[in-house]
Amino acid sequence: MSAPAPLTVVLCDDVPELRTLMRFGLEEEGDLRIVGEAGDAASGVSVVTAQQPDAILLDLSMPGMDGLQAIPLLRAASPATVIVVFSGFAAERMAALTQQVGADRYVEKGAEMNLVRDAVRGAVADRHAPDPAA
Amino acid sequence: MRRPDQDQTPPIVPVVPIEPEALLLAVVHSIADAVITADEHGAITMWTGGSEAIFGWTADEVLGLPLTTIVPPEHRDAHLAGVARVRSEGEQHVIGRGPVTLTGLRRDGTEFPAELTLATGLHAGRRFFAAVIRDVTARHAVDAELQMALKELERSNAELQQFASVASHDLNEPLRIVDGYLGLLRRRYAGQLDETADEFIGYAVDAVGRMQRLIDDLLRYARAGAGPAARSPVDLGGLADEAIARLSASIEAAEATIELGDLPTVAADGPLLRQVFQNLLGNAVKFRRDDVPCIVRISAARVDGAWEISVSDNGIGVDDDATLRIFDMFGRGRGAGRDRAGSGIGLALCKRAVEAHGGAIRVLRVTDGGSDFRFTLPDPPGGEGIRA
Repeated sequence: MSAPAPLTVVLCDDVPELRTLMRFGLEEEGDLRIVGEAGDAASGVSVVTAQQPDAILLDLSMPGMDGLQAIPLLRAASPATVIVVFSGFAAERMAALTQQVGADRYVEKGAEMNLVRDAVRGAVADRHAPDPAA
Repeated sequence: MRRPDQDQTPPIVPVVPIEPEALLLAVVHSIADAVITADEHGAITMWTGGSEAIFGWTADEVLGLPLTTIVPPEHRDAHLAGVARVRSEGEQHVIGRGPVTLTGLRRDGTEFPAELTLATGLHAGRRFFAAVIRDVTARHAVDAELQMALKELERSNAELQQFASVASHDLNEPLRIVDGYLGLLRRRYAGQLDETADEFIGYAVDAVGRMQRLIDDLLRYARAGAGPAARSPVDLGGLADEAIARLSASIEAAEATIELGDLPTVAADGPLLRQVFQNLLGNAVKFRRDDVPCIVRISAARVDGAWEISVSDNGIGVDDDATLRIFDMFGRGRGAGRDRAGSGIGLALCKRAVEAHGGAIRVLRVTDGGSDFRFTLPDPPGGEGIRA
C-alpha cells in the first residue's frame, strides 16, 4: 500500500518570506503539498480557481482586496476547498467573523507549525466526514 | 494742676450711629461684582464701583442711560422683550433664580461672558430691577483650557492605543518570520551545526521572545488607560487566585508562599485588575531575597471611601530614590538587572490601570526590607464598594 496522496494547499499572503517559511513548514511532514502561491487576494482566487486545491491558507490583512472579502469568492470558485484563515489578528477579534462568511478554521500567526498543519488536516477531514445533519 | 489719676481716664470715643441704608450702600458699592439697579423703563439708577471696574463706564456717564448700553446689540431685542414681560406679567423666569449666563458689553466694545442674578421689586408703587453681574471671563478661560486639555488627553490616549494596535500587529509580523526561520533552522539542521551555532540560535530565539513580550506589554499598557475603566462587579479574591494560577510555575520555582487575605467584591474592570495583581505578584516573587523564604501577602482595608489593596513581600525592597521612578515607563528599579525578561512596563501598566479606576498606587518600604505595594480603588459615585 502506498501512502495516501498528500493534501494540496495554496498559500495566500502578501509577505513572500512568510510564504516561503510556510511552504517549508507545511511540507515538513510530507502529507501536505503546496501547489500554488499568491501575494494578494485576487490572485489567490485565480490560483484556487485553477488548482481546485484541498485547502487554502489565507491571510486577512493584504493590500487591495482583503482576506475577508476573498472568502465568499473562494467558496464560489472552488466549493470543495477548505479555507484556513492565518492571520496576525487575535482570534477572539476575527475568528467568528471569518467563519460567518465561510471560513473553516482560524489560526493566529505565531502558532506552532504543527498546529497550522493540524488545522489544515482537521479542516479537510471535517469536510470529508459524513454530514451528521444529512 | 491736674491730678495724675485723672490723666489715666480713657477718653470717651463718640459712637456715631451709621444709618443701615448708608451701611448697605457702602457694602454694595464695594462688591467686586457689578451691582446695578434700573427703573421700570430700564434706565440705570445705581452703578457701583464693581460695575465701573467690569464695564468701564463711570456712574456719571451711565446713570439714566438705558440698560441696553451694557447689552451687546445682537441681544438687545431679547433683553427688551424680557424687561417688557417682567413689567407686564411679573414673569419669574429669570428673577430670583440662580445665575443665568449671558454676554456683557464693555465700554470699549468688547464682549465678555457674565453671570446674572436678577431681582425685582416695587418701591413707592414703581417697579425696579436690581442685577448682580459677575464677569466670568477668567473662569471660562480656565474651563476652556481644561476642556482643551481633556480633549488633548483623549486624543493622545486614542492615538496611543491606535499606535500600539498597529505597532503590535506590524512589529509582530517580521518578528514571527524571524522566529519561524530560526525554528526551521533548528529543526532542519539539528545535528548538522555545532553546539556554538545551536547556542547562537538559542540567543536569537530568546531575544525574539523578549521583543514579543515587550510589544504585548506595550499594547496592554495602551489599552489599560484608554478611558475610564469599565465597571462590573468583580471578586478581587477570585482575580488574585487567577493571577496566582497564571504565575504558578514561577511561584513554585521560587518556593514562594502566597498569603491571600479577604478581598472585597468591587465594581471594576476585572481583566485590568487581574493584570495588576499578576504584575505585582510577579514582581514580588521575582525580586525575592535569596537568604529568606519568599512570602507575599495580599490584603485589603477600607481607607477614606476606598478599598486599599496591599501586596507586600519580604524581598529586596525598593530604594527610596526609586519609589516614584519605578512607576514610569521603563523606569526599572535596582535588581531589574536580574530580570532580563522584564519589559520595564509592568508597574507603569499597574499605575495606568489603577488610575483608570480613579485610584492611586504607591510603594512603601517594609521594616524588614521588603516592599509593600498599595493601590486604592475609590468607591464609584453612588456608594461604597459592593461588599465589605
